[in-house]
This record gives sequence, structure tokens and C-alpha cells, in this order.
Amino acid sequence: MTTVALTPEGEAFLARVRDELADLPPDERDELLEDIESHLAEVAGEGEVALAARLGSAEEFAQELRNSAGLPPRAAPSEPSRLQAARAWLDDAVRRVMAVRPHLTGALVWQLARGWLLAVAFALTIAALGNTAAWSYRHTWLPHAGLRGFGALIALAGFVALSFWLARRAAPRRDGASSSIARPVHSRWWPSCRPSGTWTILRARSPASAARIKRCRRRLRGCISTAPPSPTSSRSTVTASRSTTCCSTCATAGR
Amino acid sequence: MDTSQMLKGVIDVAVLAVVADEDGYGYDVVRRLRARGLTDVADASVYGTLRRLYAAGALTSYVVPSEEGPHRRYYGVSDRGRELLAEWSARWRTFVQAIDGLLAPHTEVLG
Repeated sequence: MTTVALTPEGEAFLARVRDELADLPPDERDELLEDIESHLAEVAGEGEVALAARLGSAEEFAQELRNSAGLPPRAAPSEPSRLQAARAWLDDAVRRVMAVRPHLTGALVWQLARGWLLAVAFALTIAALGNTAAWSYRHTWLPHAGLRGFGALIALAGFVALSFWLARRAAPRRDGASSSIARPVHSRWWPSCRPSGTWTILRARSPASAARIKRCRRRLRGCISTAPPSPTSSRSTVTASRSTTCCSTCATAGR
Repeated sequence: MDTSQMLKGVIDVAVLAVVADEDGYGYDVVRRLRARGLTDVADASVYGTLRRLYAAGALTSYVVPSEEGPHRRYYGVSDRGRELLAEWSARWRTFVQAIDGLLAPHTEVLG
């Protein structure tokens, strides 16, 4: 039997089970959910009966899972701090974005955010100088700067473009032939590349090696689908060797 | 008595025995249990049991990547798991003999 990707029904089921297990330590929860995910994909692949008929409700499923795994019943959700809530939201948003656009990197998100921040700074300056409103009344996310109609939107687009241009201008210094060091592969975005808890530093010594590093980074992004090896549980040899290959490929790419 | 109630008591030993036959991933274990006659076994309880046995050191696990779908985590039995299995099966035999002894006269009456 071949596995297939999750159906929307399967995705929804998985999301509800994840909610039900929200109080577990992240490592524990992720490992349980990984198993369930491949399970759902296979059940969907059989395609005979609806998911609910086969597995019951997500709540019952999670309950049964906890019982048999010897986990405590769900703790009454404690009031999470605003910071935790914001972080969870951000993590979730990043996960969603990465799922839809695996090529979208943190850098791109940052460039967009920087463009917006520049527009905000500009609007605040103009507002302070000209005594006008800094924000649009109807669209509160849009820095206004006293511009009318689409002016504010065009200004924002201009700042985002400026941010991208700044990033492009800075790029050759990082990856170019003359530079000796490239950015470290940040473990947050390439979690599998951290089996030993160390970062891989990439060095570009020639234009050719810069290109190899670029290719390698793209390949590393494919490793995101595997969970990071956690020191507490002995992870699979296959996952480890896969990420080690990824890492060593990158480590040698700079030569 | 409902079979699912009885299953609760023996799911550990059943799962361990199936995995000891041959390494398997969660759904594979569910299917093999069902094929061997435990038709009432719930998918979720097999996954939970696998995790618990793994946490107790009775199972080892490894992930086999798949290009088309999510990766599969396979479970195999560890040395500790084999010890447990031997211990439990001995205990199980004693238990079954005791219950059989209790039921034997009544089974004939009903039978």
C-alpha cells in the first residue's frame, strides 16, 4: 500500500486531535501526532468509509490515545499568558506558510515586515511634522501619512520594494566570491540539521561554491518535514542519517 | 463481558507479541491484530500502547521516510521487550488455566 497525502477531512481531524493534546510537552505531542498523521493518510487511502465512521470523533480518539499511552487526562487549560498565545499564533502561522510555500524563507518574511516598518516610521514622521493622521481610519494596518486614495498603498509598496532592494544589494557581500563567510544555517529553519546541537557554518570561497551552497540550502529545506531529533528520545537512524547527509553535503559545498 | 473490556487488560502483551513477530508501523500493527482475531481493537489504543511500550524501553523505533506521504515510524522489540514478553506470557498461561478451570464445568452445561 502506498501512502497518500492527507485529505482535508484528515487535516481537520489531525488539527482537532492536536488541540486535544495541546497540554502535552511539545516533543511528546509531536511524536504522537506524526504517527497519527501517517495513519490518517493510510485510512484515507483505503477510501471505503468516512474517517469519522472508522475512527470516531477526534475527541474520543484523543481520549483513547491518552488512556492507552498512560498519559494523564487533559489538564484544565490554564490561562496562557499573552506572550505565549502570541508565540503559539506566530509558530502556527509560520508552520502554515511553510506548508503552503516551502520556498518562502524567514528572510522573505523579514523583508516584507521591514518594508512595512519603514512605511510606519515614515508615516509617523510625516504625522508628527504635518500634524496629520498616521493611520488610515478604515484600514488600521495601513500607515497613512496624510496621503489620499491609493497613495498610502502605493507608498507601502514602495517601502516593501525598497526593503527587497536593500536585501538584494546586501546579498553579494554575503555569498559572493570575495566574502569569506556565509550566513550560518540557522537551526530554526533547518531543524533536522542539528543532530549534534551544532550549527553548520557555510563558507563560500568562489562563485561556484556560492551556487552549490544555494542549491544545498534548497535541499535542506526539504528536511523540514522530518522532526528535529530530540536528545531525550533516541530517534530513528534513518532520520539521523538523512539529516547528516544534508548537513555534510552543505559542509562540503563550500569547498 | 464486552471484548473491548478484556482487550484493555491484554493489549500490551498482544501488541508486543505482534511487533516481536516482525517490526511494524502503527497501522500495520492494527491490521495484524485484527487479522489475528482481535477485531475490536481501537486504532487509537494501539498507537497509545506503542508509545507507552516505547517509553518503557520495551520497543525501539525508527522512521522510514516516504516520498509520497508522511514518514512511517516503525517499531521493533528491544531486549527488555523480549524479557517482558516472556514474563507476561508465562503469567498469562497461569491466568488462563485458572479461568479455564473455573469455566470448564459451566461451558459444558451451556455447550
